Amino acid sequence: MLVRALLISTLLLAGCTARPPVREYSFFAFGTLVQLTLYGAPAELAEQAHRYTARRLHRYHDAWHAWKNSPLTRLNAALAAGKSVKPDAVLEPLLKPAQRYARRSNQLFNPAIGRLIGLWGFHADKLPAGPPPDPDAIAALVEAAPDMADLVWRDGRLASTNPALQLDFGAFAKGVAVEAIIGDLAEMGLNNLILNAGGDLKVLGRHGDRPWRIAIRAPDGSGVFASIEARGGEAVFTSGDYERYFVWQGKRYHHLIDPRTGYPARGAHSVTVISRDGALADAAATALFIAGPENWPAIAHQLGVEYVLMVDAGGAARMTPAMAERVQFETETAPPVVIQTWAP
Amino acid sequence: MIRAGDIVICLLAAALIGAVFGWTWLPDAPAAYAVVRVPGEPARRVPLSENRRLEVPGRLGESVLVIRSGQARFLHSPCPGQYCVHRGWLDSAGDFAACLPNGVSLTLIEGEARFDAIAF
Repeated sequence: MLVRALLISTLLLAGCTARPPVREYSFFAFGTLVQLTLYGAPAELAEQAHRYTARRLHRYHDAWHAWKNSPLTRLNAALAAGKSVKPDAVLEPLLKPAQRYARRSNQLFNPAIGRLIGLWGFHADKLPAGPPPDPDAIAALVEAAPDMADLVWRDGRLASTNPALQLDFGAFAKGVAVEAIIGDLAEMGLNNLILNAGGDLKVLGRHGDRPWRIAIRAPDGSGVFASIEARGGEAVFTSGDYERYFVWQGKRYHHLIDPRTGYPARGAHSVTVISRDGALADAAATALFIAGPENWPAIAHQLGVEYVLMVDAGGAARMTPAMAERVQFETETAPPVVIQTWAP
Repeated sequence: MIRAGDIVICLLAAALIGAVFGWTWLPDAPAAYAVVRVPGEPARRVPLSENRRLEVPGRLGESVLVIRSGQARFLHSPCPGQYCVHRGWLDSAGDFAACLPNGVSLTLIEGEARFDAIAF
């Protein structure tokens, strides 16, 4: 009897000291693999959060789709027809913030170049096989130069002053969605989690007594090359030339199109941005990729982004001083490092 | 023509890879999970805290793995050599056993993964 009581109390004690479980859910949404990692959440709440996150991501994906019939494609059609329209409420979190970040990035983050993205063949579930589009067609769209400043609001209605404007929030939607959903999860009482949507993520809280540890995958696909500890409320977003691309005659053509040239931006392999705002982090990663290895610090300054890591075409890690303090390389030999600051 | 010696060398190579993986990536720690790899499927992580029997399909047939009291082992495997079964119980992070002919492997890892998420 005594032995039994001791045994039971030992088991109870073991139960008390057991680490709160980490629950991980993986599912396909938003055209990518999504992982929701929850620390210390009760089972029922965790299940609820999983279902909620998946549902919201599916809804945003459908509503913001750039080439399948959606509130966004209908807005594009109306704007192209020269109409002044009241945009569907589901588009609200995208439009004005995108205009703001476009302006602050000198229109390098440019969600108005949907026609250019489509011309390159990236408006399809399947990646294009090449060849690159007709140079004259590219030049014509660059000449038309649609940007977010061509969208004019009047009494809650939106009109476009540029017939070549076509909205595509591919460089922004994920950030806005992650930001919105995380806010709701926090309200549900989930305070320690990671929402990772295909390599772009935001964290809340910590993993128990330590911060969340985030690995950064090398842009050449050779594995983890760096890591950081993410603070609660931080988003980590990356734009890279390895995400969506095709190879034509030995040359890689990726989806990060420079609106100034109409061609994929050269000079960088990837840009990782940490910010407390996932939407800003998403827009900034694209804008800084397009700005390139020399000019990104000025744009980062204008966007108010403090933590930037660019892996340039030569493999060097270019960083803001604040980022350099946080990045830990995980490779045997660290890459060449260039610390860059903005000077007026 | 594969001879017994070849299989031994393959097994040694696999064991070396497992050991190097253990030394490089995992600090000395008691194992908390068994990672089971099967041809054509993502690796599966199984906690060592729950006693159970796993029947996993391989290239030749079914391998049977058992988890008991924080240890894991191959119980049966449809291979000629039975090296995996003779490897016996595994109990520390980095321990590794494989049935190469069947394509099934068993690696023990410590409780905490090095990273919580991968950004790219």
